[in-house]
This record gives sequence, C-alpha cells and structure tokens, in this order.
Amino acid sequence: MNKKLHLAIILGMFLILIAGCWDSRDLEELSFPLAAAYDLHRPGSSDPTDPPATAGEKRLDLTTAVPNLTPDAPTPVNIETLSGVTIGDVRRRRGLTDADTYVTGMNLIIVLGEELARQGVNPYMDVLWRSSTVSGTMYMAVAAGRGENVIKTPIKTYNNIGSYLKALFNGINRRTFIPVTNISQFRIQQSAGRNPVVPVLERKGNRVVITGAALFKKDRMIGRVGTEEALNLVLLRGLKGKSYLPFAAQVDGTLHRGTVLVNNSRKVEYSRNDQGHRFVVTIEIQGTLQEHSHQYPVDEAHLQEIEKTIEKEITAQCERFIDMMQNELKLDCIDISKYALTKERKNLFPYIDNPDFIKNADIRVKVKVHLKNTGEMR
Amino acid sequence: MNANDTITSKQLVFIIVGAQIAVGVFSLPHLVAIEARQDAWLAVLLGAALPFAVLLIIERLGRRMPEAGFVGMNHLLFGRWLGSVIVFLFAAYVVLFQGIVVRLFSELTSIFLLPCTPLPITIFLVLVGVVYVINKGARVVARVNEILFWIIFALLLLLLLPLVNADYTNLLPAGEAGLACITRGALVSSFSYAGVEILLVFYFLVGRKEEVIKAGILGLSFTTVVYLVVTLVCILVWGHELLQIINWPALSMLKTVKLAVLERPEFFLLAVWVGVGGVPP
Amino acid sequence: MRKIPRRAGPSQYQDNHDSQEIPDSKLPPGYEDKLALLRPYIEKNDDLIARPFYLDSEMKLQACAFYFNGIADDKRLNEHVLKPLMSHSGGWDPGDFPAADRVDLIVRTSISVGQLRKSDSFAVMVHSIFDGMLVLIFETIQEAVIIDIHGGVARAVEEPPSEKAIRGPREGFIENLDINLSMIRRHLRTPRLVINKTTVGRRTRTPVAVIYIDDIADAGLVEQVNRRLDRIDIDGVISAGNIIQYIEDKPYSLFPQVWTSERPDKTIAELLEGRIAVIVDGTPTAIFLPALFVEFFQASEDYLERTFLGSYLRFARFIAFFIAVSLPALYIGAISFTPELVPLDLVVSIAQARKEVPFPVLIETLLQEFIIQMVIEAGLRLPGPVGQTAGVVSGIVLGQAAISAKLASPAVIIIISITTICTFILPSGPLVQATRILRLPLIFLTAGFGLFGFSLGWLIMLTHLSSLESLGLPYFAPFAPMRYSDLKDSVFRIFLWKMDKRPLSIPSQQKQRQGNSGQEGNRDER
Repeated sequence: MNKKLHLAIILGMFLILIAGCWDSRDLEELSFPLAAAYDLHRPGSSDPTDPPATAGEKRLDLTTAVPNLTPDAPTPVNIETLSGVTIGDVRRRRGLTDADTYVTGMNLIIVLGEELARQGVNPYMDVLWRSSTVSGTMYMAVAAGRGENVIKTPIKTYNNIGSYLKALFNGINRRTFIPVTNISQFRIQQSAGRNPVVPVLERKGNRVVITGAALFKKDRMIGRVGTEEALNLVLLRGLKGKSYLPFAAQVDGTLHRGTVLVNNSRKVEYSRNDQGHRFVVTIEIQGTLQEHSHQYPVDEAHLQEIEKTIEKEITAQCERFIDMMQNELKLDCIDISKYALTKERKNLFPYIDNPDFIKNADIRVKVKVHLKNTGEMR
Repeated sequence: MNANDTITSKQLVFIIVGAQIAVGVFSLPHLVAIEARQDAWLAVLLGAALPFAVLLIIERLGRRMPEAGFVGMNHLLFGRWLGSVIVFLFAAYVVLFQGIVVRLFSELTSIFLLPCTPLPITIFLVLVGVVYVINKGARVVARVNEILFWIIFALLLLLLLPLVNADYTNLLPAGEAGLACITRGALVSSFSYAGVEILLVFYFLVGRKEEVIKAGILGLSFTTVVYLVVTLVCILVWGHELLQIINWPALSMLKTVKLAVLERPEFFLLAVWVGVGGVPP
Repeated sequence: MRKIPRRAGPSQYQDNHDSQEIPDSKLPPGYEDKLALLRPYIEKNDDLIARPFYLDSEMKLQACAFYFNGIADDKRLNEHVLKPLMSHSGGWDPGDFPAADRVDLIVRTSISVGQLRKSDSFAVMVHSIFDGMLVLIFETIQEAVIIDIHGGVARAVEEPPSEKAIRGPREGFIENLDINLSMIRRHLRTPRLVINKTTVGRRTRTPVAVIYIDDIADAGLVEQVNRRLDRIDIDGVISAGNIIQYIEDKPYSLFPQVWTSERPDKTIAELLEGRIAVIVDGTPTAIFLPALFVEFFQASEDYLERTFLGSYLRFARFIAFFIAVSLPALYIGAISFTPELVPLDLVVSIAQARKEVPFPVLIETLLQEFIIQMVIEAGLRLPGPVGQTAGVVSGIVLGQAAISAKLASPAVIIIISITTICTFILPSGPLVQATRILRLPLIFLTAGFGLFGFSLGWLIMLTHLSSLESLGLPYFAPFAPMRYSDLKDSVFRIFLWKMDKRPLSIPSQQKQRQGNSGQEGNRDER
C-alpha cells in the first residue's frame, strides 16, 4: 500500500513535470527595463503602434530603457516610447513591437514627468505596488519637463541610464543633502500627517543632474525647490545625511569662509495649548571643521564662534523655508504633523492634512551645532 | 499509530509552534489592524489568552485519563456512540482547517512565485510534501517540526530587517483604539492561534505527561512572541492605514528593504516557508 | 514499523541453492574410512595436497595431512608440523594409550604450532580444509586435528588512497582479516575489546569479524548486528559492499546508512564512541554501525587539527554539501523563474551569454553535468596518472570548446565546476556518491517549479533524512531529534576537552569518556 502510494506520487510528479513548466521563462527571452518614465501623452510623440485617437481622454507615454542582449549590438540599450490609456494598455501594445517577454521586476528607477506628477501619480504607481515581483526599493524621481528626456540621455560613463541613476541615488546621503525616495517609501509617506518628497532630475546636454526636490501633497506634486532649499528640507525633515556645509563669518572686519563636514539629526517636540498646535523642531548638526580660509588659530573659542555662525545661518534659512511652506504651499513637507497624531490620533485624523492645520501651526526651529577641530592647524 | 510512536515533551514544543505558525502570520497584522488599528499589537497579545485557556483545559482533561488516547478519551466522556461522532467531527475539523491552510498557502505561492502554474498543480505539490511527511508517522512529524522550528527562527530574523524603515510615531498613542476595538482585534487574532487543539491528540503520544504543560506554555509563548513581533514590525513600517489595505503586509514588508547579497528577501522567505506552511500535524 | 529487511531468510538453510550440503556426521576412527568419506570432496581438486605419512619413523600410526598449495605456509608446515610428527621421538607407543587420549598426546608432544583445534565432525573437517587450514587425520583416532598455518602473500600495509590524511597515522587496512584485527588490537589494548568471528556466504564462507568494546557498546545493538549478520543467506560475499547492502535499514534510500573507513585509527575512534565495527575478510574496509548523517562530514584529521581550523573545515564541508546538492538547481531556478533574485549586472551578462546558446537552461545544465560525470568516471577507470591527465585535459578543453561552440554559457561551466569540486570536498566516499545523484531530482523539481520546487525538494529530503534509521536509531540525530550536547561535534567541532560525554545519539553503557572534563587542556594548577 505504502509503496503504491509512493509510486503514485512519483508518477504524478513526473506527469506534471512532463506536462510543462508553466512559469519557466528563459532569461534571454526576457525584455527587462532598467529605467522607465511616465509622461502625459504628447500628440507629436512617435508611437509606432498607431494608437487610436481617443478624444478627451488622458493618454500616457511610457518610455523604457531595456538592455540589448544581442551580442555585438550597435546600441547597448533599446529605448522605446509607447502610449496607452493605462500602464497595462501600454504593456499590451508592447507585445506588438517587442519580441521578448516584458518583465518589470528588475526595473531600477521610475522617472515621472513633471506635468504628470502635478496631476497625481497614484493611478500609475498602483501597477508597481500591486505587482509581486517589482521591488519596493525601486528609486523614484521627478523630471523637470518630460521624463522621457531623462531616459533618452546618452550617458557616457554607464552603459545604461538605469544603472547610472541607481548609482547616482545609492548612498547619496553620504555625499550631499538631497531627499531620495523609493516607491514603497513614497507610498508609506502618503499616510495621514505625512507627505512625500521626491528628487528632481533634469537633463543638461548629455548629462542628468539632480536640480532639487519636488514637494508632493499626497500623490500630487505641488511645488519644487532648488538644491539650496533642498538642504533645508533635508535638515528639517530629519533625513539622515552627511556632507559638506560651507559657512561665512565676519571676524574683525574680514570675511572668513570655510567648510564643515557634518551629519544631522532632528527632534520634534509637540504640544497643544489654547492658541493651537506648537512644534519645536530641534536640528542637531555634528561634524568636523574641514576648511578655513584664514590660517587663523582655530581654538575652542573660535570653533564656538563658527558654530554660532552656522546655527544662525541655518536657523534663518529654515525659518524662511517654513514661512514659505506655511504660507505659500500650505503643506507639511517637513514631516512633523505625524507628531501631533501621536497625541490624539482619532481626533486629529480628519483635519491633519487640511492646509489650515499646517498654516496655523506654530513651528519653531532650534539649531544646535557641535564641531570638532581636525587637522594640524592650531 | 504504533506503540513506540512516542514523542518527547521538547518535540511537543516544536509541534505546537509548527501547528500554529503557518501562512496566517503574513496576513495577521492586516486582519487585526482593520479592527484595532495602531493597537493591533495589543490585540495580538490579548488574543493569546484564548489558546492559553484551551491549553490548560486540555491538560486538565488529559491528566485525568493519561493513557486513554484521543478516541478512548471521547468514548469515556461521551459514551461509545456520541464519542465516535465527536472524534469524527474533530477529524473533519482538522481536515477542513488544514485544507484551508493548504489552500491559502498555495494561493500565496501562486501569486508570488508561480503565477502561471494552475492552482490545482500548486496544491498538489504542497500536498505531496504534506503527505510525505505525515506518512512517516508522529515521530518523524515531530523531528521535521524540530528542524523547521529553527528555520522559522532564522526567517523571523529576516522579518526584522525592515525595521531600518521603522517609524515609532506609527504606534502612538497606544491604547487609543479603545477596549472594544482591541477585543474585536483579539478575537480575530485568536484564529491565528488555532492549532493548539492538536494537543488533544498529541497529549497521549508524549512520553512524560507531567512536562506537557511546561512544553505547551513554552510553545504558545513562542508563537505569541512571534506574532507580536511581526505585528509590531508591520505597524512600525507600514502604519495602520496602509496595513488595512495590504493583504500580506509581513511579506510585502520585505520588499521595502534590500540586502547586499539577497536581492529579494520576500521570494526567499516564501520559498523557504514551504515547509513551515505545509507541514502540519 | 518495517525495521529490518526481510529479504534475508532465516538462519537455517531451507532452500536448496547449495547442492553440496555436507552431512554433519561424526568421523569414523578408521583411516581408510575417513579417506573414503573425504574422497568425493577432494578428488577433483588438483591443488589440494593429501600427504600421507607415518607418525614416528617406525610406522606406528598412519596419518595424512590435507592442505592447499599456496595457502598453507610451507615453511611452518614442514618445520613445525610434519617434521616433528614424522621424527617423533617421544619413545611412547600410541597403541599403549586409550584412543581418546592419543590425539592430545600427539598434539601436546609433537606439533609446535599455536593455532590448533580438533574436531570429530565431518562437516567441520571438510570446511576447514576448504577454509585453508591444514587438517591431519590419524589411524584409530576419531578426531581430526585442524591447524591454522595460513601463509601466502598479503599486501603490505599502506596509506589508504581514498582516505588520505595529512596528519595522523598512515596505516590502512589490507585484505587480510587477521592482520586488520591485529592492527586494531595493537592500538586498542583494553581487555574489554571483543572480537567475534562468524562466517557469511554459503559458498565463499567469508570470515566476518564483529568488533566492539564490551563495556561501552550497547548490548542490544551488538545483538542486533549479530542477528542481521546471521540472517544474511547468500551465495557469496565479494566485498564488504555486499554485506552493507544486506544489513542497512532502508535499502531504498539514496543516503548511505553505514559508515565505512579504511583506517584503523578511525576504527578505534568509532569503537570508543560505542559503535560496533564489522570487518569482512578480503576487503580493506571496516563497516561501522550505527551510522549518523553527521559522521559523513567528520574527517579523522578534524580531531587532530587545532580546534578553530577543524571547526572551520567542518563548517565548510556542510556548506559544500549544500552547494554540491543545490547549486545547479538554484541556478536554473534563479535564471528561468526569478531572475529578480540575481544581481542585475550578473543577469545582463548571463543573458547575453545565453542568447547564443540554442538549448533551454535545463538542457544546458544537464548536458554539462553529464559530461562532468563522464569525465569523472573516465578518470577513475584510466590508470593513475593517465586518469588525472585525462580529467584535467577533458575538463579544460571540453569546457573551452563548449563555450566557443556556443553549446554552453560560461556561467553553467562555472556552476558545474563549483558543484563538482564541492562534491569531492566531502570526506566520505558513500556521501560523495549520494550527492552525485541527489542533485538530479532537485534540478528537475526546480526546473518545473522554480524556488518553490527547490524548497519542496529540500523539505522531502529533510523529511527523508529524519525518517531514516540506522540500527533503529535516528540517522539525522543531532539535528532531528535535536540532541543539544551532540551538536558539539556536528557543524562545528569544539575543544576535545569539552566533549566529555560520549555522543548521546549512540546508546552506550558508559556516558562519561574523560576525566579532565571542563579543564582547559591539561594545565598545571597554579
């Protein structure tokens, strides 16, 4: 009996194995994009599949950069733009032009056109979140202008744009102060009391440059800041970073310039009183003095002067940023409303994302700088 | 069952853990968060009370007739006829319950790993593994559960990885959901603790009966800690709003991190989970 | 439970596949009567020498010596048996003594050989002749005298080629059972060492020795081994390999369930852990029972190396086993099911290489695997240095050619090479052979169902391992059931002075094995 059962199972397995490997796909027959861009459809763009004219309905352009697997291929990457009503629609059209099976699991970065980002991106991101194969760590960026321009940049140093952008974003918090996000963080940061920020990419000739950060209200981009304000954004948001920070100070009538290498952290204290909600954001900056324009004896006292200078400078910048944020954008892009929720989640939940909440909140900034001297100069 | 098919009380710990922890752990935070929101972890903790009570009852029952065996016990308690009916009902319940587990597990596999393979084939494969293990008898089930326990343990460490993205504000304020919501959540979570009832059968296979209660408490506590940790990590990473939307938050959670060597922890986890999800008593 | 295979029949010969059944009768006292009885057995054998002679030069008593040319040691035969018998000068007349005492007198006065016994059974006498003994019969004396003067050529004691050790003794077993046993006795001098000899194989009548240490080995296990050996009812034992197949618990399994070694030092170590050794005459191999899965990862120099190195190598072997069994399967699974798992740069380069290969990954892998297995087999069969050269040349040339002929991608060649190397890292032959087959089902399962199939395969394998038993003891022991104290000598080997107990997985009468437990080495007290 036992042996017959074994035999039956083994036979069954063999039958199944012979019947077919449903999910087996040979690697060389896959077409896997390493970078993709979503844009609003532009009537002029060239789509070889002759899409039907759909009047009034928003169409979408999907640009992908797929590594060319054929040996000795003239171009290392195939870049193609197709359009459709939804992402799935585009993928269906892809079947008409691409001989290989389209697999999204290995995509490294998704670039959103600015126009599209301003309309809200969740309808298009859903396909990525839902997929079981797409990694949540896929980077995300907004392009100044159209995303396809970024994808189509002929990069010299890397053989495809996806690897380049991934390398650009990897470990960026050890190089400079710019917010970076991936698709799962983008999703998580849309929960109540939080808003995502996304880096902005721009094509400059044959290069792709990070030119700032896009501020999102949930899934809609509503503002953009340059790299200098992005620095304040990173400090205020409490994103961990480590980079060089220049300073300038008037000492005895001469202008001292210099640089410190610092990393940052943030603390938020929330309290509620009769006047309203009050947030105290404490930014702590720690680091070392790297560069000083005058070979001035940098003793403890002078170091403290430099600390004071930086504190003052950054406080002023941050206050300006918060002012802009409260009055112009009316958007909490520095991730502090969630601290209000920790006190009374149920009551605040309906209002937390109202523009009024952040506009009327009392936000204070405190900056603390701790520097250490390095080098042989004394 | 063979007469020398006895197991040690240590193995009982692993069997209880193996019986309780299956695919349910992936969706548990989601289901509980729907009721108890950010206090889901409290609900999971509270939910453990029910299986502990069941454990104590079974132990009391078993101590009265330590050598009766499951069938014998029912005959003693309810008489020959009614007892047989109850044994049959229990068997039907176990089959049904494990059937659901196998089905859920197959669907999860189908979605994450084998999207094109027909579901019956996946179910067949899972059943092949299950039948093979069970066919070898209680002792081998115990031994396999023992190995799998350590595999579960290693995988749980994997589930701690997403903590790099944790945000403690997601947990606060604690207890705000209210006792009613938390109790409802606890009720939902207590389904995940189902499996402790197999002690009814395994009690009589344990060599040293006086150690059963200790082993049971140890096994249950381990399960509780596992569920608690997984739920906590899920809330910390996702926040309760997303947790209410995502079907398998514990699994999807692994997508949010990237390891240097392992590109996709979630595939790895699910693949290794085959044993854990499949093997049952 | 089906513990013992029932193929081996009961110990009494029932079926009649041995037509030369020898009647178990008493020997007659008459000289001619004995010769007449013997004649049917000896007349056809030209190498059997029947040497008649008279006891004493005065022709007092007729006698005859039977022995095989080339088996009996001529020198001892002449010097210590025939010469003293024939030139007997005791001055007594055998006829003066009662018949029962005569044989003792002869043996005590005139035969100067140690190994000697007498028997009045005809069957014993015939078997002794064919076992290679010298058999003497005498006129008027009922009993035959059986003398062991085995001589002839034996191979020199050398280092076993399949179990080389960098450190430690270089002795290896040879084909002669007595010399093998003497090697064990020489290094294990306890009076409690027990060696029982039986005979297996109806026609080959191969001596088999069961060795154990009386006060360590579990009596039940010894009895079980003896019972299993008794049950073997076969025509012939060609090598220890035959015996193994009859005494292991689950012949259907791919895993070896008994341990073998060609090294006396290993044998002694195993005996000290409470195992039972079986040595078969004619094979330079000792069989150990019960066997555990972990043992196949324990090389004898693990215990001679420094602890950390020993542990590291032990751990490396477990990893190697995993790789040897799973790497090709993992490659197929990752490439054709979840390429997302592979680092991106690798995916691109593998995909580019695969673009030119006409076969699917499965076929490509199987092809290379097959070629490598054939190269290994060819290397084994070819004589020594030629075999090595053939292996290396075919490995390099075939690999290169396969890549440039676009029959295989470089990745597959690397995968298969790593797998092969990892296979042969394993210190025990039977496990190496098992590994070579084990990877095939795993390859097929993974080719069908990706990582899911891979895990399923491993689940089934682990279950199978957990269900295996050796002599009725759990085979996968320190892992499942978990024996925490035995884990000291499993994936890692901790300090010898910490292993103060014998393994729990093997029942033994004496648990403690050393007195200096817990001491760091044997330092002087301060």
